[in-house]
Amino acid sequence: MCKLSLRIACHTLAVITSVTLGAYPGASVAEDGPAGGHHVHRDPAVVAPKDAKPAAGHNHGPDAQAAHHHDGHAHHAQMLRQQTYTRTETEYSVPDVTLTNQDGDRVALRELLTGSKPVLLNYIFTTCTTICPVLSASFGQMRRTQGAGIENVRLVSISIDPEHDSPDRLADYAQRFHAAEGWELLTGSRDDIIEVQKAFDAFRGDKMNHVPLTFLHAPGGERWIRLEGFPSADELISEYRQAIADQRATSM
Amino acid sequence: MLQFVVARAGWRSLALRCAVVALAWAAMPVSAGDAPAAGNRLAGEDTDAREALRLGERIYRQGIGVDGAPLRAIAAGDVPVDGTMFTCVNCHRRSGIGSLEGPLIALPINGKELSVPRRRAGAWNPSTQGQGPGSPERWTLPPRFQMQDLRPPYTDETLVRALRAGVDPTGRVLSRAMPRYVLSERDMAVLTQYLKQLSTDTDPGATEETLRFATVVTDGVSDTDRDAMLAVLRAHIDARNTQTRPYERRAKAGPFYKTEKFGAYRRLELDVWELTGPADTWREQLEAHYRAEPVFALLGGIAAGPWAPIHEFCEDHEIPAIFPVTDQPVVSDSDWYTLYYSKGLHQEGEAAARFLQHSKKLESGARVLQLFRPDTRGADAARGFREAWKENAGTNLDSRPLYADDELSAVLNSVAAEGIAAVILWLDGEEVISGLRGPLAESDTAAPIFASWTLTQTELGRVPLVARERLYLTYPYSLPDLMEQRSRGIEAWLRARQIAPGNAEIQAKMYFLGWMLPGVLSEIRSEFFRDYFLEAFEMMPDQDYAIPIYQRVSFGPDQRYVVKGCYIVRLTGDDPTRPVAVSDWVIH
Repeated sequence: MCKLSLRIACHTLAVITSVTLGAYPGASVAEDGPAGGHHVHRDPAVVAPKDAKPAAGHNHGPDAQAAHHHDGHAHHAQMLRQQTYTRTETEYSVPDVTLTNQDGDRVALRELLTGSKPVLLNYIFTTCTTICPVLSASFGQMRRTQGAGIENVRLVSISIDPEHDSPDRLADYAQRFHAAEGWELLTGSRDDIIEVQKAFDAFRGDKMNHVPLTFLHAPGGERWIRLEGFPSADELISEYRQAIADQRATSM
Repeated sequence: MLQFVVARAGWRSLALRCAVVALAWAAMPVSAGDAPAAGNRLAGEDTDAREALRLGERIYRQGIGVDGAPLRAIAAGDVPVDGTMFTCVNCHRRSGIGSLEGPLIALPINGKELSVPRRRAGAWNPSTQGQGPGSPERWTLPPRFQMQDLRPPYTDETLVRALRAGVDPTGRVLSRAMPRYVLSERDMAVLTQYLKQLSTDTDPGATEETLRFATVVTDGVSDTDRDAMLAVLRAHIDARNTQTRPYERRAKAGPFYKTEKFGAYRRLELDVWELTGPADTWREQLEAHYRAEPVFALLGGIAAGPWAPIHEFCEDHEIPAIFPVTDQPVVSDSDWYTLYYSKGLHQEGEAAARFLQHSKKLESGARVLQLFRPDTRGADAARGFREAWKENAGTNLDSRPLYADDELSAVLNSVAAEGIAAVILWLDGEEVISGLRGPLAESDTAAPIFASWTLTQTELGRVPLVARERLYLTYPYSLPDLMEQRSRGIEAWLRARQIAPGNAEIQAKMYFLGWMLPGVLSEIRSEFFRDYFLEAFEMMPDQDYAIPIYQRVSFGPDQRYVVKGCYIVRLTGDDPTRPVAVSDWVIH
């Protein structure tokens, strides 16, 4: 087989596997960038939205993909391991902003996220179709699980659609997922919300571009565990326990 | 009944997962025997079939099973979810054509797609293979680009397996975000029937060559406003239609990898539906227009009076209506088919309530007096205020309608000034000025007075100097400097097309609609389904460049009011008619 055909075959194989295996996780299928420069391996029979620069006169067709090249083999191997999420550890500095929770109360974010309780944080919006409902159901399940120490965790969800997500809408959303106590859902000004997302490297330009992210923080220090994907409730609980244990170890 | 218990230890959760899968597999030999007769168009013929469709739709859109209980499922491996948290419609959308969110693809599950093989990325999937203008060779990929189908068409049996066990007909395991459902045989039967007819035949108003729209204009709308709207809308449509000849040529003779893009092109037609007489006759007239020439969707439109009759027509017929020019929309959390700019006066009421509650410290026992005239736009504002107002900390809202023979001064005089923390006047300019000059000027209190810019703007030059300190206005537009700056682009566009400047707001609204339309049409390609057309708007990113009259507009799934904000302003600058913002665009 000539080199070009081999490359095409690898490329298309990578595309098929990324499509069939749901493009998860850590496949870097989506290049992060401003709303304009987004390349995605996807099935153009479901061509979507927002490679969008302002909508007028632009055609976003399947042709955009032709330019993409990939190391097909490594990609394929990673997909086959059936990872459900990727895990990294980073230090994030929480901006000193005041947000508003589902009860309409003002909340100082830095205090909330770096206080004495362990924190689980994710980014949602109430009209989110696919990612947030699953992440929020996982939060709810995490909360309902019995077990030593789990009940101390503070669950925080920050809206990435703050102009639509009023405190009332956040409260309805919490009800939808049978949220027990200890779950803060936050909204705020658009600028503050963007600043917070950027601080956590979670800003993807437009809400429809967002990725499933869950962050864990054990009290003390600025280290956060970043989980990208859909961990099960079991996996969340073990990550949580590990994060607490690791923090204890380092502070001894 | 399967109990969803999340085990903590790894081995127990593995056993649970196996049990779920085993249960699903055990339940699998499904007989479609109790399903109603198959067919795409069942309406009106068979009560059982209609009932089955209704139940199928209820599963799909509300997550309620045939037994009336929420569906139960497992997502992300071990997380129990029920139908009230999310259901099929959330990810696969009302059209069934699916969605894209970040890197996550919800694939199409409408009848047209399930019943054919799924092709690899890059190959268009016409409902009948080989269809399209020009030679058949143009519609198939050269052999070296052809790959095997990703999956064969779904059958009733493989569909059950996908939903219960999360595997597709080739054995591929579906994404972790896709729930594994507990579905009875009856659930499966009605859902299968529903999916088979979902987004299967192209909607009315779309032909092989054209896509037909209509715009509504009623009696009572001035000729200048009507012309302002039509001129801009037609200019956009004409501009787009200039591409017809090259696109049609390329669809016949262009390269194979562009066949779908060019083949999806349609020439746009715009009918004008004139509605005459009183509003209660409009529905009948709409029905008659629609029967004479069905359209795919409504664009723009202006009504003298509330938009409700047209809204209801669209809701009942499931016809999209995009960006009508109205400040009396229907305000609803659940209606789906009309995409409005804003909630109009209702939104101004909400903004005033939130501003007052969050920015002004209201003391315990404080009263807020709200006055409005029923059946006016002011009443819409009063309703918005009431709905956003939270009874708390002992404040109370005294909301009073002024009837025909009620005179404002008399009412204000009759209300004890004591304890009034704010006065809200959802009245027109004349009345507000008379109030500001009369009883409100005489009272000792410095209680703030709220009114609507929209209702009073022509009279604001007459606001007494001393009253300006107390007056707060709800201002649902972008601030003047920004608006002026951003308007220059539109002004140039109008000049280039020799369109006389008319009502700036109407022209700006139609300009933006025309700006968004090509992107949306490109998004839906050849899938001319009305629901999908609306969903394409939903997916658009925030816009501020092309809509000077608003600070920003934003879209989103099921969001039907794209303007989210409304400033509170005062007239305390050098120019008394020029507003100065004292709040953010969106107030929480």
